Amino acid sequence: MIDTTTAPRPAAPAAAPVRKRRSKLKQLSPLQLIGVAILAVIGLFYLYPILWLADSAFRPAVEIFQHPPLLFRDFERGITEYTLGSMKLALYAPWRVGSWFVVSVFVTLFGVALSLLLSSLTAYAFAYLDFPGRGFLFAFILGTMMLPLTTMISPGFSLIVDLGLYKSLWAVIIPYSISAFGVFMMRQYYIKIPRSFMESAKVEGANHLRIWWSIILPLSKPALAALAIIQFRAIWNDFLFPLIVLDTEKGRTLPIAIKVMDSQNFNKPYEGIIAAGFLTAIVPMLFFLIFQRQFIEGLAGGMKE
Amino acid sequence: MSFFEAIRAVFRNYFGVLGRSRRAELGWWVLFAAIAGAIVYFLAGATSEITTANSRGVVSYLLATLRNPILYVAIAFLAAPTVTTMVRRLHDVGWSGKWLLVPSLSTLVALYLRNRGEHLFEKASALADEEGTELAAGQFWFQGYSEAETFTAKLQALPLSIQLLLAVAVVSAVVLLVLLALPGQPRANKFDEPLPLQSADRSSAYALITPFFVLICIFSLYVFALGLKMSFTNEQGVNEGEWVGLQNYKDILYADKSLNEDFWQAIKVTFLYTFFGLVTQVPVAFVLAYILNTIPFFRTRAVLRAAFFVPCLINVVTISLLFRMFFLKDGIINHSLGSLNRLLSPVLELFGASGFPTQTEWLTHSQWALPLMIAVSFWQWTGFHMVYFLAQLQTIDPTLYEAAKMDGISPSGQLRHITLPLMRPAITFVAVTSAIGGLQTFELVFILFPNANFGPGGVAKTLVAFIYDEGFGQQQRLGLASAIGWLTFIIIAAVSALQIRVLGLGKHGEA
Repeated sequence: MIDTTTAPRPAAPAAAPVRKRRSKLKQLSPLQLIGVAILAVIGLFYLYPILWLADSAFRPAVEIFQHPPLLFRDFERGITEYTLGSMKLALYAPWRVGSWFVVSVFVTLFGVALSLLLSSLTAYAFAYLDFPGRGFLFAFILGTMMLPLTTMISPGFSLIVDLGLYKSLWAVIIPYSISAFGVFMMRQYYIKIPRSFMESAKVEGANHLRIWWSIILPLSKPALAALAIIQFRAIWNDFLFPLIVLDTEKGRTLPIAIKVMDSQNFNKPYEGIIAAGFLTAIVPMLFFLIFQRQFIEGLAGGMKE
Repeated sequence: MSFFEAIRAVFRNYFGVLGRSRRAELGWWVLFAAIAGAIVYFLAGATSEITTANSRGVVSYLLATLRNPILYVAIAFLAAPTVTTMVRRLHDVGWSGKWLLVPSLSTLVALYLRNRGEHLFEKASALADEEGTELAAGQFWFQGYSEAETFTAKLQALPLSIQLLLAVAVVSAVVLLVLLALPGQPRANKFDEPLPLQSADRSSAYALITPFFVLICIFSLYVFALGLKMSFTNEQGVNEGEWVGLQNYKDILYADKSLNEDFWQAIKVTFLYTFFGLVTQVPVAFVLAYILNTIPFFRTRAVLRAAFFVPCLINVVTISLLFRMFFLKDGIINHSLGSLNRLLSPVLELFGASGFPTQTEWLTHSQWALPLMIAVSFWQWTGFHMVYFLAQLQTIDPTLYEAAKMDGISPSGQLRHITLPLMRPAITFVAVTSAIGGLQTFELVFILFPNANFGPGGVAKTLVAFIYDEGFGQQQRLGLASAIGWLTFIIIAAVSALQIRVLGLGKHGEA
């Protein structure tokens, strides 16, 4: 299953063909121009819900249900009448989305950090060390990825209760930190690193923890970044497991906080929900803006291996 | 050997159970561990004061959450080298480190047996309380143990097996302590200590993978097995249930009519949703990626890629809420259809058509439930799949196309004979990912339809939603939910096995 011969492929030969194509700029056929224009229009329609979300997060409640949006009806009023009212409603008591934002950051930070730590340590052993049972144990890790979520929900909850973690944030952080996929991905990256790097360190008398920390980790920064991004997206947006095991009074993550606001049957705070949804959505989008290249490579890298 | 030298030596061999350590090393380390342990213990007490004093507010909650893990990590941090140094000390006096297992294992087994006894006793006395009867004296040894007051009386109340284990533990611990205090064997020279590379690798390899393996065994393997066990019980909420045999499976498959109908409805809607999601998203994603890949402007391509990709970054809860508002009766969809009618009115009049209906109640008519789910997930995931395809398309060697062009092969021929065969692994991967995602759908149907009732009349109740509803809804029938989970597992395993057999997806290297 794991083909080591194809592994040392260069990461993404994106730069070279691009420079070549840019010189063809003038030879663009009219057909291609039309194609780009059509795609651009579709892209705009595609983004419309997100733009609407960003716009409505700063509108009063009455404006949210008006169609078309204020910006289209009366541009001048639309551009001047932005307000922070709904943001304030969401952020402070009784909805306290600001607090749940801190909790979400805490959970995501710990989940990502622990999963990177565990995955890279385990992958180090599988990539470089020879020990009895290595093949079987690695196949076992891969096998756990096949277990469907449906089979794990109720016994997972039961286990969390038995462990005494029910309503504690560790009930979600610990499961997040075990990423079989992360071990697989890191190992695939590690086997490409030449062994001579660590042999020389070994001769100098460094132990494995030291080799891992001071040689392998710095060399595997791209893979760590990619894994961190994959884990971040999954943990930040996760809903079902936190809904089941977290204490909705003390420690909600943001998606749960939105759900709780939405469960209000009378006087549903729609403007607060929109503001909270915007706050939740803006974080991964900002990350995407900043780390666009790592995002795409990380997701695509997951497939390439 | 000075204190600092000894501590440094211990840290250098943190996980090392091979080689030898000097007497001073262990002695100084024990002193260090005692001081550090005392500091940690004091700090833990102090922070618990702080966190209980003002228990309101998120920061103190997070502090309280962090306190125990820090304690555990500190204990493990101090305990691990203590054990390894003891092992190396044993090597130094000519014994195998495995002898440490004797006192530790016998203590662990004794502890387990004691807790087991306590558990059985408490269970029986709770049952007796419920039925209003009394437990017979001496029925459980734990009765005598809990009533005994002095230490010796407690020891005497223990059953013989535990007494024997404890004796073994104490005797072997004393022997080991004496051994550890013996002077070491003479050393040949200073460089005798590091052991051969290969064998040193083995022990540290196990040390490196142990944390991950303990966790994955608990949270994957054990949970999986626990699900099977729970499916034979009537566990409800946090109460442990009783063994009911195949009752849950019988209920789902034929005995309970409404459960049976719900189950097949859930199977139906989940598989339909997965199938239609697959056949709408994957081809469109492929076409989009193909078109984007032909765009020669780097910037334009990146911007368009970002536009299609962004929806998958946002959590499904927000998106479902957004689309619920869009699909309301006076929501944006119906309004846009109205504007479209006005825009197209000359054409419509020409054909005598009345235009699109603008008063559709998307969310409350059951025939719209599945199309809505498919549409929303199409909007969210097509760009995600497209990015995979695009990345794979860019790895195809451009000289292949140039060679084909020279041989006079048409663009459609190039697509069929170069692109598609090379894209086959990516298509398989995307299809599998999409199918896995489809089978796990929950948030979408939970939030998209108002009042959390999974669509009009529950028509959109997917498998995960069904499990959630049974296991965590009104009745909290966890045993039943586990049985549903296991039935689903069997069905999914059978379907995938069939797929691999029929389509030969397992060996995609053939192309």
